[in-house]
Amino acid sequence: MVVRLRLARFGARNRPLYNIVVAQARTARNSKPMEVIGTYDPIPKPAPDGEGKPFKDIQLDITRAKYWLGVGAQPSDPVWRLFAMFGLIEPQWKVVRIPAQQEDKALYEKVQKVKIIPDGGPKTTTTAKPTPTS
Amino acid sequence: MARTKIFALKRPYPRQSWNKHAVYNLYRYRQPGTANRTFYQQKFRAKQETRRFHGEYLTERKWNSMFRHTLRGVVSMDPAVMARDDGSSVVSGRGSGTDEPPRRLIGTQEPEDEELSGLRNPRIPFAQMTFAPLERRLDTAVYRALFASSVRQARMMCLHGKVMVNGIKVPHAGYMLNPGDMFSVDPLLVMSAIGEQGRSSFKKLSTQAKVDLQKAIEEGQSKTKSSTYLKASNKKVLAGNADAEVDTDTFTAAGVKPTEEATEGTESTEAASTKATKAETQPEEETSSGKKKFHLPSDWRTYLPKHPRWKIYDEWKPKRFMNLFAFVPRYLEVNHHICHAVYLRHPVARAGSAEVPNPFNHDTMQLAYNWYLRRR
Amino acid sequence: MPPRLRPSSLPSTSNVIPQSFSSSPLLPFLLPSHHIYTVISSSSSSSRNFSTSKPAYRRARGFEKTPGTRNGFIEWMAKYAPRYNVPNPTNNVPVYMTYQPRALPSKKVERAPGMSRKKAKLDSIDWDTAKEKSTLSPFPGNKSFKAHPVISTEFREQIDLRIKAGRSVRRVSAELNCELERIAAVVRLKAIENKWIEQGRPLCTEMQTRVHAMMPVTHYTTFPQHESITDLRIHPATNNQLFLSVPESMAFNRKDASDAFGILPADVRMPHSELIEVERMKQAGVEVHEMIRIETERENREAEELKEKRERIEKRLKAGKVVETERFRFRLRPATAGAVGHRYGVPAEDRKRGVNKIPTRVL
Repeated sequence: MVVRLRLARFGARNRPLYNIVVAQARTARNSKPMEVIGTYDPIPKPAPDGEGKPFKDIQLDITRAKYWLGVGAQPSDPVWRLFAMFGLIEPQWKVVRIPAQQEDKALYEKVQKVKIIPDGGPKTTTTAKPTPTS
Repeated sequence: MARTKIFALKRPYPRQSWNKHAVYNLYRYRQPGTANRTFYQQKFRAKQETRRFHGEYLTERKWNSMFRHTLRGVVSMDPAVMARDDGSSVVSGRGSGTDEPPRRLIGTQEPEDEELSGLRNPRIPFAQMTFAPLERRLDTAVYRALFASSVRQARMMCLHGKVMVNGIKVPHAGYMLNPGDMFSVDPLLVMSAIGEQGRSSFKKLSTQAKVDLQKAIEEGQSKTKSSTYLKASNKKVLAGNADAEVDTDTFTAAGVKPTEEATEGTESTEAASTKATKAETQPEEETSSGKKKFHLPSDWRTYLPKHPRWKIYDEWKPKRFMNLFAFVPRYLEVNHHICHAVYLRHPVARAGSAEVPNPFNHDTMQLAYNWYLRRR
Repeated sequence: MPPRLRPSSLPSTSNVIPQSFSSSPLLPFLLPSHHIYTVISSSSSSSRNFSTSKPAYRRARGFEKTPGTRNGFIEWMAKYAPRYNVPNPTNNVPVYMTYQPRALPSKKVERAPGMSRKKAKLDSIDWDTAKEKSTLSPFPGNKSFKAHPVISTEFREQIDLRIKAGRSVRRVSAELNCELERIAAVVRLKAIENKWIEQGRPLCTEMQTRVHAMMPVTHYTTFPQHESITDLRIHPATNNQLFLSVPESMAFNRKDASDAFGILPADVRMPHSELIEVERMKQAGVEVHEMIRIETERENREAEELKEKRERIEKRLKAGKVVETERFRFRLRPATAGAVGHRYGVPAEDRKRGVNKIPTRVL
């Protein structure tokens, strides 16, 4: 049987909290694991200074995580993602960001489709016009 | 379940509301009498009367679990006196202090007026603090901060998720505020809740908003590249703003020719297209004041700024009878500019005054306090 | 049995007040508390000349249960209710229920030719005298609740300016006679307000002005007297009596008393306890510049301590790495296996009856 590094859901309804656990792959999600090595709180908290992005907290015992990876424990996808943030493993996949200029160009093209009608001009509208909201 | 009919004229009970019936009932309200009643009856009556005012939508069991027999009070200290005296003079002599009681001039009388005698010998009205735990509730605090016209309305705001505590939505009316908690309600909601009724003020754009709109459109026309403005004009943002009506006499929908292509797939309804034809016939119309008329494209809604200045911002009027209840207790600090308030501390009683607003006299409150004190 | 006719001119009982006497809106409060009264309006009495209601002595305690209740309400709405809605946008006279709108003092004002009668009447109200006479009790039956003034918008600006100039909250509080918590709250609220202005969000200025016009307001002056800043909280431990035998020759001071109760002395617990030291210096005749020097030193010391404390908190909050993604910031914190995570074998009580599910604190 494989030993996995995975998340175990705690918390209440609509308020999840996860333990990062080391467990046998076939055991139940919330059964007693071999070891609890961290926690993950997926609910974003607003930034303390009120500005910037909201934050999420991850706690991890890095030495234990390294050990379990070393002996061949298999991280699940979400745990892989979290471990990649700590720099323990290579991320499974990378987000390829469109460079800002390209993004701007895409937006520019999109905007070009929206025709702005000047005063009195007998212009036609294109299909890109927004539909009424009310 | 809480009673729904709470403003009956036949039984004038005081309620925490600015409703006209509630005001009338409060106006003719008299304190419960104690003559020819046993102590138990007096306490029971006092408890009934006070509970009708304080959290009448809460069950007795719920309130009983909130009640605390310890009541908060403060004493104002004078630093000058404390610097002069380390307190030993109070217990000197035979333990009762060497201070002589203040002598009254011969011929003067003890003031008859309750208020004046209170000034001379102020007592701390502790019994008035019986319902202080309710003041910690989020719904009550929202009402006290003048963000709602009744506690029930405030409660509804909370339950609908319109009230934020420290920037986080708290959909619990019974959330007990902690000292330092900041709570807020959406200003538009507050203005409609404590303002004069009628939705017309919501639908019309104010003069300032019209200026904003014109500016925004001009900006949008001049810019060919993406602007932050156009980024903001997604449907979601505008959905809430879209029910605005524009005065037809000031705004004229500009030259959309009511061709098939124009009406197809666009938002122009029949009314808009007729307006448009009118505009087309007189494109360069001048108003009597000589100003050029502002022409509005048919998709003007997409140009609305995120927070348009509705008429209500400029022409807000208070709800009827609001002035009878316009006071903010000392334990709150309210900013109506942004409809935010801070719960500074728990309410306290001090010599001559208590911070829990209610229409009952000290005797009634004392009886009510005694009722809840049983078995404690 | 046909209803017995009763002459309408004859009031049924002595506790019915004729129309002419019921003009004061405060009548119910002026009457002795056992007095049950009914206002007979001239119109209602003429329309019905026999009474179907119970006689007064059989009416329920306290309330008026006559079928005329609704009429009474309609009449009140027409006659008295408008008086409470006095449009006074510039004054600071709260029109509470204890206030007698009828008795609004007036002054002589010459009526301009174009002015409406209503406007002239409003202009003639002498608000200064009214302010002196007005009572701050919103509820007629409860004298112990008084509407405390709120601080004006200008006052708020002044507080914010002082804090921005680098003065401590404690000092501003003592200068402007506002509670410490209030100063802190005003600064927090002001910061949000400024942010809104920056973002171009409209402020409810009209509402703020009109709300403040309805209630007592403390305006900013050089030495504003807003509230007592040295309110000492009565400690619950002192609610119970404590018997202590003390030798008569011994001086028993506040320190001894607090030791007996097992609490801190009032000199420490009081907010603005530093004012005692200032007063002591004053009474000892310490020179002003010396006092200022000592005070500044103390302030600097406090500021230093506060800064250190803040840094410590900041350090704790910033412990570990922060990874920023497109939408969120992930705070990565080190932990120890065994001491971290939710316990196993503990039942979740979130569905249990009688357990409070409402959060007790937010952030």
